[in-house]
Amino acid sequence: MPELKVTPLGAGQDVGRSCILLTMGGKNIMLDCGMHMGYNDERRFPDFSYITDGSLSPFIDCVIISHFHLDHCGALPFMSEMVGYTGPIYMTHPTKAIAPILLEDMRKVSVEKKGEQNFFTSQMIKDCMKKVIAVTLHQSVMVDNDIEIKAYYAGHVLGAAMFWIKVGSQSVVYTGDYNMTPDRHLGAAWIDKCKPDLLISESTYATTIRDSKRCREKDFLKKVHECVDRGGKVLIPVFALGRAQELCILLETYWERMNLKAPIYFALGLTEKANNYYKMFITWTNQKIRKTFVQRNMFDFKHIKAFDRQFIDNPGPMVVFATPGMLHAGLSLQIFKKWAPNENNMIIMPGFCVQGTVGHKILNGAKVVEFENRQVVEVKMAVEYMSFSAHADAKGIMQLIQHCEPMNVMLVHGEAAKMEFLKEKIQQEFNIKCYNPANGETSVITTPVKIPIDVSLSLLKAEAKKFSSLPPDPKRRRTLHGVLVMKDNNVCLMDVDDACKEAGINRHVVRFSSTVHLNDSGPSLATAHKLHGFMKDKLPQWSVTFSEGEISVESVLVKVEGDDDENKNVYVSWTNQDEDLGSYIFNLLNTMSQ
Amino acid sequence: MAAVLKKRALAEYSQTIQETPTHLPLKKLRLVKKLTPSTGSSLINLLPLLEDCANSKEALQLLLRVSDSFEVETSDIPECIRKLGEHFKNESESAVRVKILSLLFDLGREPNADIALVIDEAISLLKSDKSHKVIAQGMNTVLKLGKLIPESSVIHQKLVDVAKQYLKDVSHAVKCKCLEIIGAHFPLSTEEETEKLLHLISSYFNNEDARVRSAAFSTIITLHGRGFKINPKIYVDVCEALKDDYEIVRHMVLQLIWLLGNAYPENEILLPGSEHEIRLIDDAFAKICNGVTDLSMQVRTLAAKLLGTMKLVSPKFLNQTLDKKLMSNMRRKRTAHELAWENVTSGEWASGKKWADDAPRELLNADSISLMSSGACGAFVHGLEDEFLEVRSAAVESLCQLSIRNPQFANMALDFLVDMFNDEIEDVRLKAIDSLTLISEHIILRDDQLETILGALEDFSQDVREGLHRMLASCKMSTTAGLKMCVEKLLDNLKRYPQDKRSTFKCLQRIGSQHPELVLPLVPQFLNIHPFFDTAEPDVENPQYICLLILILNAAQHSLTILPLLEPHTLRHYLYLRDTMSQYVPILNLADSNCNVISRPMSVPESLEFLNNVIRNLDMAENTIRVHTTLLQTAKEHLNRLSEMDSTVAGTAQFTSLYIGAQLHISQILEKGFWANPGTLATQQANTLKTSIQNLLQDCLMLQFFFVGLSPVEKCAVKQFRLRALALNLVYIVKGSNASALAPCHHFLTVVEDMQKELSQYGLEPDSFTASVFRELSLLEEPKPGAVSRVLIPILSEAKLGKIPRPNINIRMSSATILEPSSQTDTSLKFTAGLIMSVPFEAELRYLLDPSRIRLKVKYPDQKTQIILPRPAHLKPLYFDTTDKEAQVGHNIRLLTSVLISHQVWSEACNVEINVALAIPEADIGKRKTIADSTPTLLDLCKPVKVSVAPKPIKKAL
Repeated sequence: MPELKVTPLGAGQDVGRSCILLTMGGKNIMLDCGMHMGYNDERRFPDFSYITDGSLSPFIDCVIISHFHLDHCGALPFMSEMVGYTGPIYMTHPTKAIAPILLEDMRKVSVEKKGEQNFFTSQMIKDCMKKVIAVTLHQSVMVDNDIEIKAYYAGHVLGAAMFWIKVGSQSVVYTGDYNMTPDRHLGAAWIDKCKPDLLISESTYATTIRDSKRCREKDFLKKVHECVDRGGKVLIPVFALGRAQELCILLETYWERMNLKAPIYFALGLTEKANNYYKMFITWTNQKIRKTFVQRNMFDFKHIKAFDRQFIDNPGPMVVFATPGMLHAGLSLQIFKKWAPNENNMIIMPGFCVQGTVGHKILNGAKVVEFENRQVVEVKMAVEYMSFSAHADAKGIMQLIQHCEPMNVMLVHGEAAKMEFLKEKIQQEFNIKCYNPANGETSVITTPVKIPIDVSLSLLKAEAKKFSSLPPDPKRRRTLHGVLVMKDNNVCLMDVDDACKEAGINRHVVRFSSTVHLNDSGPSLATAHKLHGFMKDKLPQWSVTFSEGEISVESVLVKVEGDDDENKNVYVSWTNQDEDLGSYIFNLLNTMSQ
Repeated sequence: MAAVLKKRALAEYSQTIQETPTHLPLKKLRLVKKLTPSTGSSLINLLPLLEDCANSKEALQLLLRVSDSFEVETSDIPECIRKLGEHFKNESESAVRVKILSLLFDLGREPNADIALVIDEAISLLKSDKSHKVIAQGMNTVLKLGKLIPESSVIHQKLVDVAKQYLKDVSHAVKCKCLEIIGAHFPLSTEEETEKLLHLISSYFNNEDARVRSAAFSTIITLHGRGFKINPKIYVDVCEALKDDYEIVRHMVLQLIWLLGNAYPENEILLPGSEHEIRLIDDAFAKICNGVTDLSMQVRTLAAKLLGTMKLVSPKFLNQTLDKKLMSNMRRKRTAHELAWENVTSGEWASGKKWADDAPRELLNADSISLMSSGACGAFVHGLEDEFLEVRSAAVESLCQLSIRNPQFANMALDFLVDMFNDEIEDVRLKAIDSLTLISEHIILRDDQLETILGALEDFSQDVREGLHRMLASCKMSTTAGLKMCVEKLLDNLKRYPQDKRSTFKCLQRIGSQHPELVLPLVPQFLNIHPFFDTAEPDVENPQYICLLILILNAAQHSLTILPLLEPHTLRHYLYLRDTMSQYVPILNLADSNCNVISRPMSVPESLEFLNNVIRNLDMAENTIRVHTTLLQTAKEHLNRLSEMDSTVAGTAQFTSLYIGAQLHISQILEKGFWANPGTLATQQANTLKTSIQNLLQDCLMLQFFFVGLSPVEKCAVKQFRLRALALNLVYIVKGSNASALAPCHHFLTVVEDMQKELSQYGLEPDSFTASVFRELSLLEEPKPGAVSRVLIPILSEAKLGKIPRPNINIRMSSATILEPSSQTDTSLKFTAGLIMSVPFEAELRYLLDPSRIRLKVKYPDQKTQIILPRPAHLKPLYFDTTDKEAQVGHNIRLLTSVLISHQVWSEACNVEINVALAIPEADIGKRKTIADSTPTLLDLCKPVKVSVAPKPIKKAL
């Protein structure tokens, strides 16, 4: 039995550091190569020594990166430049464009701010990117003679893709992160009915079904609008890419619609560069942006301007997006300190905050926040929480499974306990097997043996003609008669005569013949006629022909010989192919004679 | 000089002789057309060339050329068919044979062609053909030909037999076409035969080719559409096909399921894997709901669309469509809608401060959750969240349709529709608002819902705001606080968008009359009435104040207690408003008021009586011309006055008065007698004559194009009158000027011909003038201008004026009211000279004959006139609620656009005149040889508004 082997090096029953090894048809493929944001030691990178201690090139045939988030591509330069890998790396065009910006930023923070050693350099990022081959959606790429990959749209962030991978007769779909509900700038994930042997799906929200997106948006906009109307300032701490763009578009269109005049600022930084790419990759965005970009590119923000530190003290209402998202350092914290004591102001946290950060404290209702330097800030501003996450919820995951109809499902990128629930549900509702291996644990999935056979066209056409000419009946079986020829490495089904001709053999026909003695007086012709009538009666579905004293059904020949006396010899002869029919007629005659 | 000109004119006349009149039957006046020389493109001429074609490629080129310029005489058709058939048999290239078959259809489509013959030929040609492409095209040809003869069942039976035979073909294209033929042409038959047919078609449900599967399903749909009874037993098989890999199949299957569901709603079907039986319509509904999460956008759109048209679905299933169980980490979570509801019922408002106030509550049992719950669960939730606007707007529509029929569902759907106000596409937002307006009768708005709706009121788009105004006007509110919030928000918004004044008035008028009991407690607050002190009298021109007055006065209509609350100055303001904007303010019974209000009923039967009298009197009077003229004059004045007084007969009165006016005109001209030989007149007199003829023609145009609701009698009366005017004009041109009279004469003859057709079409008798024109012209040998005018002169001077048509109260006169810009503003608009300034323009146009004729006319002080064709998108229907019977007559349009003005520098501000006009390119006025280059005739619909404009010179920078 052919097998698929999947070993998560990261993301097995865990969120962060996605890295999955896939072995199929003798090929080894690495899906994503991410780093863990929570660790600062070697645990942040996947354990490549699991594969080998030296260079990875001989062991891995290709690497596929689903999108530019660091937990999916963060370890790529480390793997390719420091561990050693020279093979091809595949990702979509936007990912290829944006990933180096994020990698560089992370490198800067780790090396220059935290002073870490043994980290990849800028040059390494560049070298790594040179190995990347960019793919377009729905473009079928042959990695080598056996591996074929194809990208599907996944929503989530700009350029996120799901990959369909096929080796021989086996196929796997790896989703990366995806989103089944469209948002303000991206569409929903979409895949066709590709019926893979295995679907490897993320399961961040395995136990959550979310409320309609519109409610959340409406609340968000209403709160911002009210605050601005009463002259307050709104602070929205965000991460540089992804949600920030969505919120920008949301506010921008709302400002446009409501004709509001209060300024919106966006703290510069990575976002500036990234926004350029957002403007370029219009085909990756949602229907509205794609349709209107000719008149106006939605990412050319009209109301959103760059932020300058001195604007903090400006009077009057304003809305400011600032990094980082958890309010633990940087500009967002600085602004927070200034604005927190005024009850007219508001802060909106658009995502989850890790314990220990200021964001987490104020979300839990802290009225006073104390900082390292004994500075105490009173929090009088309104604190709001709005979840804008771009992962599929449980229903979305189920929907994807329904759409692509896999034979097996594997859940990764989620918490173990939550996965367990979803796994149950999948097995129960789709009646297919579901796996959720832990890191380093190998799942072996057997797939059915499929042997592709070439069938000669004339054979197929003849069959189709024969089938169509009969009155239609959906239940009738369709049979082909031919010879299986194995040649070189191919197996093909050919017409008998053609096969003989090709092999240079004269066709031999094996005929069985036998004699039955019958007691019947009268001329032999009369007997033959009788037999003919009898056989017609017994074989209603076959055409029984009578000519020159011989009865023939297909290749079965029945001949009556003998004089006018009692005993007649009935010769029955049939070819090998019609063994069933022949022996049936023979038995028939035998029982008659007795 | 004059002699030379005359000579030239005569020379021109003489050139006309090249047109030889063929025959002139007594009743039929036929203008001679040039015989079109045989262009050689006729089919019969081209076909022999086929034999000369060296190869198939050339033949194909030839056939393509033939079909591009297809013309054939009916008599040649059999010959063409024969020739095509001959070539078909010898042609080896299948593409050419396909083209020949398609040409056969073109031949069959010709009027008077023998379709049965063509069909026979096509079928016989196919007999020996092997190519699937050719057979498919042949089937297509006979299919379409069969549709041309809907009544002949013999041919249809034959077609079906042929189709059944070709159904055995291997190719999908042939199979599809055959199935289509069977669907379209199978004759209505007994139940048994239908059953057999269904069995045959259903055996193709599992064909290996998706196109054939899809065609099989669509055949069933066609059959159902033609009245065949479809056995509901196939439902189970059909549902299987919902899992098909191909979207074309799923698309068809959804439609079929919908059909079956609606046709047999009460059939019970067994749920797979259980003993439960549910109604067919419910199951079909659930299946279609599943389609909302389909892979393909087209299928999703269709599913969302179909949901709204299923009527008999059980409430249990219906309510599920809006249900989506939320959970977070295995705990039940409440939706935002539920949260809002709980806040209201518990009397506690959302704090909005706690980030965990939507925290999950009870722990859910893992087994009890069904993620893929089959059935209708959350179909609309998905549909409304879809990526594509097509799906979303279809979902909104369906939600609205279902809500209209089901009040309980309407209340559930409300929250979702309100959520859609926030969609990213404006069309969807508007659709949501309109939907809410439609279902408003079922809904009582809670305060929190009202608040969300009002939030959308600040939208920049005027359409959205006005949609919301309409919606608010038709909704019911539950509390005084809500009403107050709503009114305050409306007033607030009026400050921001002053152009919404009228829409806000209308909205508050309806709100007031619908909620008198809620308005009552707010009256002192709104009007600043203090129990002890007199407060300052507000400015009656202040729109905010007017709004409040409209609200309160309309409420007072239904609540007796409001009136005594009002202060004297408010009552004075009421009287003022009653005079200035009577449509917004109701008539109140002010018992103790000291000023008398003359109540003016809108319409009285007497006015119609009066109208009838006036016209009857005119007819009776057989007087001298002078007396008759005076009578007409008086009648005209009476009618004009009447039209101002009573709106129901205004149109008729205006029409009749205009008609009389035109008659007066013509009789004046005729009376003076100069028209017959204007050559003798002095220049000034000639000019007067010319202008009066022009005026007369213009009157005719107005009669023709300004009125809707004319009956054929009136139409013909107007046209006959026009004929008379044209005759006069023709005589004048021939006699009085040296311009060529060829074109006017030709035009006149065309009009006569049309007149004849029209009269015979309606079966009306021509009046004395028209009758004699017909008679005399038919005697004429050559319709040369001179001859025609000679014939016309005696007729014109002898014939009496036609009768005035009986009053027909359906007649309405087109009119336009320009609302914006108002001419009252003193400020002049300044802009940089040479650049463009846009002036917002709003007008209400009523009773239009044809909206495409509307033009905007901008006239600058230097007499330059610009004519602007408004964009179709800027023309919107004036009445949204079509229950209004007034809306039925003609086109009532609201023109909301902006006029672009540009000019070079002026020294001071000047007035630019803007008005609405009708373009009449086919006008008769000044009909000369070529009028293509001249501007089309424009008839003003209303008086122009003057906008003061001051183009400023470009300031030199620095």
